[in-house]
Amino acid sequence: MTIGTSVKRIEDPRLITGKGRYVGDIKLTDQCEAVIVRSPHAHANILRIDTEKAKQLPDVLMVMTGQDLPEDLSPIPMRLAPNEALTKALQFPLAKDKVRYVGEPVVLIVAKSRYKAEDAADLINVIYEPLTPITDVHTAIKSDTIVLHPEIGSNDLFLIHSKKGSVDEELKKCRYILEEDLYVQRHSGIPLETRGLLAVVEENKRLTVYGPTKVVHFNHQILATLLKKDSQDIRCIETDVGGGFGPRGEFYPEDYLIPYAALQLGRPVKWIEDRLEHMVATNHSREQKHHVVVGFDESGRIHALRDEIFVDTGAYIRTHGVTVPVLTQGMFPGPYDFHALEFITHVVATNKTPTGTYRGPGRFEGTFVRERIIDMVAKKLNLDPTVVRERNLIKPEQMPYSNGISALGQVVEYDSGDYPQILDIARSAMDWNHFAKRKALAAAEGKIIGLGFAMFVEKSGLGPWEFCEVEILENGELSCKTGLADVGQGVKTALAQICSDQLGIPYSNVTVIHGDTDVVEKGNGSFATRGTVVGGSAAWYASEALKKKLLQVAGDLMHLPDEDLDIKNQFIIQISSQQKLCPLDLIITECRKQGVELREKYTFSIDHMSYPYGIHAAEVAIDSETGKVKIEKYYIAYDIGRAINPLLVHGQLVGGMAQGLGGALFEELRYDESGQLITGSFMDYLIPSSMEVPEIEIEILENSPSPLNPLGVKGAGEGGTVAVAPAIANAIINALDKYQINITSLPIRPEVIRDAIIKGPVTNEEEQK
Amino acid sequence: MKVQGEIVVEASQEEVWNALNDPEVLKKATPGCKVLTETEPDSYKADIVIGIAAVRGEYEAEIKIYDKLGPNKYCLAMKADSNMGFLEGNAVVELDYSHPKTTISYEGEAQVGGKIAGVGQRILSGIAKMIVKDFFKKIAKETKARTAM
Repeated sequence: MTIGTSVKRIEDPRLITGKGRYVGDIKLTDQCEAVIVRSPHAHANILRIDTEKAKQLPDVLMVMTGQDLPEDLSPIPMRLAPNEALTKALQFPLAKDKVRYVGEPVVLIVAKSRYKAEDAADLINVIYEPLTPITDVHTAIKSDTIVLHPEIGSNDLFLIHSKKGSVDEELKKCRYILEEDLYVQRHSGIPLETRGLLAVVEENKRLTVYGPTKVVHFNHQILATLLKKDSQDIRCIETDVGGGFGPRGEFYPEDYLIPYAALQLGRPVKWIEDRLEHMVATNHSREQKHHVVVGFDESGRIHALRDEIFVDTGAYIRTHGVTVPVLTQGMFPGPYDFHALEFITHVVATNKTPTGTYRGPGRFEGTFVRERIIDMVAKKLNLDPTVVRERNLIKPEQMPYSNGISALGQVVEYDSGDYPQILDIARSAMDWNHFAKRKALAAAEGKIIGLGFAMFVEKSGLGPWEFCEVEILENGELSCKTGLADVGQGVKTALAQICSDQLGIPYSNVTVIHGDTDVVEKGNGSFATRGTVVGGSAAWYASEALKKKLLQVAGDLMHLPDEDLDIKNQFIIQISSQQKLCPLDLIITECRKQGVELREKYTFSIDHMSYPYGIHAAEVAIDSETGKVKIEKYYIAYDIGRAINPLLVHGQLVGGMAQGLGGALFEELRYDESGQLITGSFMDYLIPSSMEVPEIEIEILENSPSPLNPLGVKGAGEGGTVAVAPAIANAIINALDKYQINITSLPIRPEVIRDAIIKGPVTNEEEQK
Repeated sequence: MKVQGEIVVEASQEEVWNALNDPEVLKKATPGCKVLTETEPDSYKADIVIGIAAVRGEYEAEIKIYDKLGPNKYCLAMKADSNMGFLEGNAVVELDYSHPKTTISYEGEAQVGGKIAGVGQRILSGIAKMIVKDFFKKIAKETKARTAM
């Protein structure tokens, strides 16, 4: 049995001994390199582009502007949550006559070397006519503001409205009403390895592209459509990836431009994004403003909640369509049973880098808002915030529970879970009952400490299907071809464990193959915490089918009913007697003799997502002089139904927490009023390092297996990220309960804390207001 | 970002005013200025090379002086383009004479775009202040040199 054990990752030996092969490592004969000239303006008309000087530079092979794109080229389509109304806001690979964000590709240059291409880029002269930039959602939707996509007619590109019950009716009955504005800042996943591509036309005229990640088969189809080529004539090969997190691996302008240039030039073209480019060119995420109204009674029971959300989606709609805003709404209610809900979400265009998903998309934002609101309700009523949580939680007997809101084409229906139980586990792990006493003792020593909780429900296992093909090879190893991608999550290890469990072979005898469109016939890729749930289930069933075949041959050979046979530790055993009958190898040889093909394919389809759930808790100490927040203890309890490999889950949660911490305290893609990104390098865009990330106590729970898949698993990829900000914010507020401070926006800056402390504790009179 | 400051010159207001309107002085005072040509009265084109980390590069600049109220005040607008991005700024320059010294005070806004905006934002305002301060210091020096002649 390897499922459920913390076996070592099979990916690691190769990667940690420097044998990984990233796109930057691949060098082909005659390879040339591309550089992209990007807009320095947030919003401008392109009056003229002088390319002559650049073209005349020796070794420059190609200079291309938006005018040179094929006339019948379509813009880059939406991969997820596509919507007809939004097709008018899609992006072309090069700007045609207008630029709409700093960093928008304007000219593609290909030269014999990167040096030459950079030199040529210096000789390009683009004459811009600057236009008024739009950098704020509220300005964007004013009637007199210039419209970025005239065919849509408004910068309020798309409205998503969903409701359950009548918020207005419920509010009338509520004794207390709280209204608050909250803000989640723009930030994004920052992979260590920036994007890169290498495209080459083979002798047989077929195009090979190295470098797609995450959703290789999807991008393969998009590329074929945009290039108007038969997909059989294109091969996409996934390389090793230095971090995915959502932004990496989507189809970007360069994913068209580089293969197009290779086809035009008939020689390999490589492009590696540099970090400064990355900060403006790769998807941003998260920026949302929330206006929340909640109605509740004196017990803290929340009866109605309305949230009007303004999503700053940036200059164009990218491949994610409206995935993030839709998920914000669908997952907003979290673990709570609210009677009436209403969400009005505006997807607003501005002159900033376009946005997409980032680990926990929509949930990082929604969880911050919701879990802060819960603590605000508790504060208003002078109640224990964990008690307010408890009083609003969905009870286990209400499962499966539908929250009445749709996301990604399905009504959100929680499959299983015991939310009150996980709250209790966390309360005792953090010794919440005695915290007030500890806090008072700390105060006596002049220390300010606080403890905060944040609960969440995650979604995982997005369908519609995933593919797996298993085959016993001549060398005795099992090949497992999957439609998933390896973005560092340990997909090879997890799938190997699943196959090994079915077939009674060591997991190290399984070779997982992925990400090559010539080798794996189809796949949906790795995103939305779907890998182990959907791809794992496909591997489970494909292996099961192969096992059936083996046992049938074994049964015939030994004149035993195959239902009484199983494979354990590479032996055929009899279940009833638990006796070893013969080595598996013998049966494999027999199969080959009989001409039995030892290969099975399986496509696992699923309509509904599965919903893991958990809680984060943070104990913080505040430096009263500087306002610095020190995390004294951090705790995550996460119920994922069943952990295929607890070590992988642990790693996901630690890494996820680090990114959540970045969003809570450090990271911000901040723009100035002229639409310039002013945090465009790591000097100003702060990422937590090992110095900032605390030890994290993690409890992986398996109390609520998912009934929706054979493994009972729910995904583990994003739960480490989504609740960090509210847990820390609530802890800070708890620490500073004597001071006038309300955390409603991210990142939480030390100066806000310091200012509150300098102003001093509030008097009782003020407190009563 | 805002840029403001003042500098005291030991010269009469007229002398300072003349220096501030003399292309030769402007050229010498503008840090890294290689060429400065007057395209029309009070309008200049300049090639400037800046060697400071985040804004390093060759710039083509246009400088315009307007709203002149000699010898008390003028406005200055500058636009500079380079492969690293662009710089734009405007400032009000005022002179105040109190025997035997003239105080030049300046106040304006500068804006950067493109790569230089994204890099080293926290040092940019320092760089801008340094460049502007350097400019007026040199104006003071040149004025003194001319007065001494």
